[in-house]
Amino acid sequence: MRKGAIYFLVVFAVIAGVTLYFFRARYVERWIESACTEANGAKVEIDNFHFSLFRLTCKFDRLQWTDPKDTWTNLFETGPAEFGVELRPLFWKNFIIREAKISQILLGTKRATSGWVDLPPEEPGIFDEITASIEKEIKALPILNLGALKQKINLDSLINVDQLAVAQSVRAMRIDTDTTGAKWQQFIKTYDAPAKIAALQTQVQSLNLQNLKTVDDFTTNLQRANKLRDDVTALRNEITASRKNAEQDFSRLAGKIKNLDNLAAQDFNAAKQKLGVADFNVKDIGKMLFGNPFSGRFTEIMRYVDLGREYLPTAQKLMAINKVENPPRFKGQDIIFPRPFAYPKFLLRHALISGATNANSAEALQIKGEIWGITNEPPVYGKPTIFEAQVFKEASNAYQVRAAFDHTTDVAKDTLHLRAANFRLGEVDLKNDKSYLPSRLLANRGAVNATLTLSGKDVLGRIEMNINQVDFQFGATTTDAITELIRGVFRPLEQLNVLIDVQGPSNALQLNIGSNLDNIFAARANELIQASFERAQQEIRLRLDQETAKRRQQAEAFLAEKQKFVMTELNKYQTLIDEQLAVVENKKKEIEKRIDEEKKRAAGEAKKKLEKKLKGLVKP
Amino acid sequence: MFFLQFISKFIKVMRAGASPAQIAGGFSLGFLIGLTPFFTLHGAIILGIVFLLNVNLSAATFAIFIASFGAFLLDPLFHNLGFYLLTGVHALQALWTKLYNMPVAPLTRFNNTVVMGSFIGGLVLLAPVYFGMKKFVVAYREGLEAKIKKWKIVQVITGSKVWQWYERLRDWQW
Repeated sequence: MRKGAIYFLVVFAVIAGVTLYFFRARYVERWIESACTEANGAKVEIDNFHFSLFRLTCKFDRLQWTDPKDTWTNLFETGPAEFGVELRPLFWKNFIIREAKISQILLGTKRATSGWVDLPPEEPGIFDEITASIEKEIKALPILNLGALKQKINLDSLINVDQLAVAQSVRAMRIDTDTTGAKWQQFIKTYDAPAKIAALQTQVQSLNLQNLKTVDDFTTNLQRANKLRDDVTALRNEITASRKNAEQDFSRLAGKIKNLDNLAAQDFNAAKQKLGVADFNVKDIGKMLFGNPFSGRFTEIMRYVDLGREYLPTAQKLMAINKVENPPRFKGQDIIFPRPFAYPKFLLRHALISGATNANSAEALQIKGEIWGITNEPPVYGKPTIFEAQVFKEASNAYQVRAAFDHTTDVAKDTLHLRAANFRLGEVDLKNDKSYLPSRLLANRGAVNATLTLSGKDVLGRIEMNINQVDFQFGATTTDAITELIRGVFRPLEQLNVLIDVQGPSNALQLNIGSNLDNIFAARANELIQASFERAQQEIRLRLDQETAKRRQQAEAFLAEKQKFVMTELNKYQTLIDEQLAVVENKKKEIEKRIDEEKKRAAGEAKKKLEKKLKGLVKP
Repeated sequence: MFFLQFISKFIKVMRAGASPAQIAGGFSLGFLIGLTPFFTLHGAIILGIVFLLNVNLSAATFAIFIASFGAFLLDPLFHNLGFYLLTGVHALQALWTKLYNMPVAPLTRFNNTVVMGSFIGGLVLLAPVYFGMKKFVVAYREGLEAKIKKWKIVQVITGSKVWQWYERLRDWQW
């Protein structure tokens, strides 16, 4: 045993301990920064980190979490924070925070330096899909062309006769009819059916039933009759097939004429769209009025829900990460054994938070609340992450927000509840650019109750709002009589109830915004503008009907002319051959009848001869 | 240069000074450390034992280097052995699970296939390496050195310019 070695090891341990003690904060800070940066995909920075080795508590003055989509902006930053770490999980390199206090959280602050880091890009979340599909729904709304309502419609400029689908179809059909007609005319011209019928007719007439005497005569003529019948039947089948083919060709052309009705409807819709008098639905009023402000708020909320999804991976995602198919050479493979008290790698059990959405804005919302169970391994923790907060403006309304991010299974299930009662509304910007719709809504107080559920990529949301003493404000004053007329519909209301439903997969969301204003508006609007709509539509319909009828007549006449010649000829052949077939059949029957008679007669004579001979032999 | 100094020191030790048992002890423990991946708790403990026991440190350091290079080639084998011990032996499952759930044991990284395989492999080879090395030192001191000096490879190394440079630097009066 070396005594010197004991001193050496003790000195080494002391130096190591002292070094660790003095550099612990820096080491832990760097470790946290690097782990968070990797998880975030952009820089995460901590200022003035302190770590107490004996009490196992940490605190820092500031944390900046860069927005990966805009690296010059922080997704959020915090003020002073303090938290305690659990000792036992540290042995397994699990970082479990038991209680945290984070204050002065600010969202969307500017950064002094770029927070960009060179990391592989993350898979896009569902936020972009949801935003795109909501925008699509809003954009699909009809736009009222008020000018068209007050002016006399210039149908000549609106309907280009040559470009109508009906006209184009008739032109194409004429060419088709021409080609088909020419084909059959050529067929008739070269068809040798008349000659064949004449030849068969001669042969049929040559069957002379008067001179049949001997058995050979009967047999020969019956065979001839059978053969003639077969020949006539073959020709008849040939003519019938040609007739059917011709009929099919002409029926196809007739079908195209029938389809002109559908094309006429298509022309009508196109003309309506061009004029701006598309069908106006009661449901559209809600979307037109509240669609834009809703879409803004909704996508803002969805952004935060999407962030929750990004930072809280699901079981499926984690399994994919941990799946080791071929362990890297020389590094081996870590075998995982069951653990009765499994810890996730990172867990923040409970945090008290306070902050604001934007530090420098009068519109900033203050946030005060609690978070339970933030972890990088929700399936290991086995409980959803819960966020409960009060969101309020200084000396104003407070919203109760509760969100649950359940990523413990393969499919992420996130729910968000937002509730506020008797909150003061004041002025709401409706973000409408149409002069006939209100640009602002003035209201006294209201209540809102919203629930949003995201299961995988399926969204289901419902927002109910009840607003008292509502009035509407418009943009610049107008001299336009029709705009003025429509504006008159939006009179003050005692109560406005809005119900917003969003549902469907994130890439094809369906948005429905209904309100009691719909019916009121529809009733008032009907009186004012419905008549104008209908008049405009009738004018278009009349003009299009005329154009369609004219073209239909032309097409029908042209087709009838081509069809008449071909079908007359083929019908004539059919009649002739049918006649010949009947004659052959009759003659054949006649021969068969004569053969039967001859047989009977021969049998009678034979019987008489036999009786005569027997008479001499048998005596009575 | 450091490596040459290292070999030179080891050769000096082989010639005289430490006893064959001290050299063999240092070499076998160094061999065990060298085989297993370095940053483990048990690696640090064995290193502490090397310091504490009266074994030859040069031999231990030399063995760590030699075994570390050899381990690269043997790691696939150690992985298979470790994988078998950790997952294939049913009777050991309860022990591994218990160790895995103890606070300090995971710091040894025993649940890693290469760590487990190389450590068990090292333990199995510990006694043969110790006795083999002891015999080798005795044989070396009894005349093997002269024979080795005649080896072509040794003559090439000692006759090389690098070796001559090393000798000049070694004998330099600072």
